[in-house]
Amino acid sequence: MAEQPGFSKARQLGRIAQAIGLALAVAAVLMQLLRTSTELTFRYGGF
Amino acid sequence: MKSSPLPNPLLREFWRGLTTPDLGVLKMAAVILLSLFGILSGLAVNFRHQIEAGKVEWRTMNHDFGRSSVLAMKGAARETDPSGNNLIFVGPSSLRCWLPHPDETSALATSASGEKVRVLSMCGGGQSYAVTAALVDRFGSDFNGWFVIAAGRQTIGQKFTDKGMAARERQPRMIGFYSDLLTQTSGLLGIPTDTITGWELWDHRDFHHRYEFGFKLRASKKKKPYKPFLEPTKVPVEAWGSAINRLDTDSLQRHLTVLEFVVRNVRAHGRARVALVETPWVDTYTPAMQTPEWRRDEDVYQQKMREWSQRNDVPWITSPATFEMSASDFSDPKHVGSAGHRKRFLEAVVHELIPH
Repeated sequence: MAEQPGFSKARQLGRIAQAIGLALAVAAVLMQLLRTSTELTFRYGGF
Repeated sequence: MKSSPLPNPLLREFWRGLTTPDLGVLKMAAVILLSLFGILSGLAVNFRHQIEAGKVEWRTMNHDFGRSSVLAMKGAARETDPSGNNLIFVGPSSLRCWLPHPDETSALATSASGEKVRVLSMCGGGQSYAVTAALVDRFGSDFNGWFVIAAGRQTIGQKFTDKGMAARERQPRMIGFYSDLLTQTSGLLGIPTDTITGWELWDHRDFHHRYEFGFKLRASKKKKPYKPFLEPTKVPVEAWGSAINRLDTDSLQRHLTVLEFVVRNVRAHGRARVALVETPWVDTYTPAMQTPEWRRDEDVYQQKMREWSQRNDVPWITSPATFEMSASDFSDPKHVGSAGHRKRFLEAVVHELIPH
């Protein structure tokens, strides 16, 4: 059965959204790791 | 592929694209992620350029390492008074707490001297002597004045704990500039250093993240004020003795070697001079803490410091150790809490170093 017009574009948009979501999720995890590391670094009172 | 909960055929196709695992999607995500890092890297470089161009005001920063780092990057040419006397204090938080508030130090020093004196502080909690050397080097020494470096027995003559060593290992990430001297002197002190990648965003990640590439500095409403002093500790004074350590002559020797390096470097590159100042902890003023071992250590410390000072022709200001003080003048075993003694400390340094 031939694909209706617009379907391919909708699927492509879905793939792009998936890629953006994936990239943002990885970036969020990395930023959280960086935040934890920064807090640890700056917390030291020392002398 | 998951079955779509959506009735609309177009939305169903969108859902299919959204939920179907695909190598092409992974590649696209990788490109997006790399682009995000590219943008952040550009922001980090731009932030450094702004600092180097003198467009970032270090007073707007609320953490020691950010303030010191930006001050050093702006440099002596921008921050010192060419016609006057300058005192640049460099050291850990014990020195910072011996000084009056940075907003008041220049006026107090001018009043004590009778001449215009500019006072700046590049102090930071647990600042290693490797970072001290890097800050002095980056600030530049072609100015008329003094670098006054902290040299208390409990700092310069103390072996780092594991926690202290780990904290010092992280310090290069907290400053916003590269320094060969930092790497070199860290090696002399046995402080491991991260591999330098040349990627600023990563090498100085804690600096850039804390200041959000300069954006945070503009959001003045959210900014916490800079507080250089500590609230008094809740630990009873009787328990403070555990914070006082034996002298570690190996650490003392290594630190003095680094300072010798700093002195040679300053003399080779400019007009500035170096002085050391005693930043005593509570044990100096508390006879009950002065055991026979403590006195023996003190004799060794005094002798080694005197020899070093004479050999290198560097003034060693010891008068703060003679102040009449007690444990009640401290916030904790390491940090002075008395405003009156902070003023006396600054005046003592001014009288020793500024001609009047």
